[in-house]
Amino acid sequence: MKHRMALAAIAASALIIGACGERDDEGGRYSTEPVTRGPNSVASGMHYTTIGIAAVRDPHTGQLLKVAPAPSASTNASGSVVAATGTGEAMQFPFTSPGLAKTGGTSVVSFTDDANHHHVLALLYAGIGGPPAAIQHYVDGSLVSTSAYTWQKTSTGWLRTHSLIQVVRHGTLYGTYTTNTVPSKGGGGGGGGSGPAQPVRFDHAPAAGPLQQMIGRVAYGLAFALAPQDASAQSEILVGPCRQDFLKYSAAAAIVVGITITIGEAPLLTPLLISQLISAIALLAGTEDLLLDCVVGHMQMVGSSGGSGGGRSQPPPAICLQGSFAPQCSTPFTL
Amino acid sequence: MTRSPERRSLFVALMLIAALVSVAFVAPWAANVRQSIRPQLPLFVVVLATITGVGQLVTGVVEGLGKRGGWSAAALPMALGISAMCMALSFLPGAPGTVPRLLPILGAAFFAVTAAVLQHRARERSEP
Repeated sequence: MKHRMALAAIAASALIIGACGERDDEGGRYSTEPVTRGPNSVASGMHYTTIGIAAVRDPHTGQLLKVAPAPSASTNASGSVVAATGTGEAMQFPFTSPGLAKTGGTSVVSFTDDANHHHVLALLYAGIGGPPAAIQHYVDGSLVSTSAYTWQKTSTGWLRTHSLIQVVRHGTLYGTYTTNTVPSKGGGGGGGGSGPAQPVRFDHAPAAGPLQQMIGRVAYGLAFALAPQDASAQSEILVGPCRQDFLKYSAAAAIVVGITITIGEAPLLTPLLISQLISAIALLAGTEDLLLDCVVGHMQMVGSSGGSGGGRSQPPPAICLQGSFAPQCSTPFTL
Repeated sequence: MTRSPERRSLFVALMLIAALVSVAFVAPWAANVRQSIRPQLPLFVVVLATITGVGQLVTGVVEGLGKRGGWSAAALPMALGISAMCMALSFLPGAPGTVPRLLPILGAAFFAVTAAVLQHRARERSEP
């Protein structure tokens, strides 16, 4: 569960745009809670300045309007969105953080929150590994945000140098948030501390039942102990993730076989039997679709190791099933 | 009345087609096909399975209440009808992530197999 929440925090770190005054209230869940405040953050002994620019959709014109750093009634943006614009926080993930990849590839994380909404995070890792380079966040099958990050490897971790987050509701782009982090010129103010920047933490309580939390902790602990830098840590060890879909597919196949046998044994081929076979085949196709999505989504596909900045790993086409980062997949708001 | 070997060939052909189409769905190029038919599949199953189920159930009632009917005449169409209705139920809207529901699909499978057994026994009884 911490693993999932940490990854959700990457996607949700600047999703404060979702808390702006739009129609639905789902954006309220995507708030971010940076631990340290102040315009200049410190990572690996250096000072950095992060500038954040938010843009929200004007409901009247449909245009994206930049949010000014000062509160402004014209943009109708919430206080948290306004506060995030201008100077912001430098984000760094220490090398010991969970969810860092060693090579390129894809990973899918899914969970159900306490409001019974099913979340799916599709993560794409660049060839050099590290934190995810891109994330797509789905809630109940609908795309709600896409994120792209550029990471710089420092002596203590991965520093986010650039990010672009797009918030989507019902297929419409509602807002964007971009950050740009550059080294500060000259020594920064206060503190003089040389420790790494604090990672973004998700302060809300994990939204899972006690049994799920226990399973998640056991799975997370085992995964972290056995493969601490492996972004493919499974969160379900005791229960297979695709068991339900497999059972549905098997039962649907049994229906097709049963009706086919009935047709074979029947003295007459009636239209009702034919239509029943057709609907059974359609049911089989639907359950197979779900099973394939589940299996592909839980497969850990590692791209070719390109060395240090070497060959580009070709994203497998299966990622198109979960939404797309690759150019050959057609989806809105492809990064 | 069609002869038995032809029906067996029909059975084999149908199973082969179903298997080939299922395997074809796994291919990468079928991803676009799957994505395009995904929204319509539940609707298709609900509508067609409901019509079929109602038709089979009504047939079962009519045959069961007929003069030479009785439960034995009604059992086969009723089993097919319940199987079809269960298929339709499985795809009715519900909580996110639960559609299609497992229990109705299992019920549909049970009644489909039951129907196959009943039909097989009826054919054996009718053979000299």
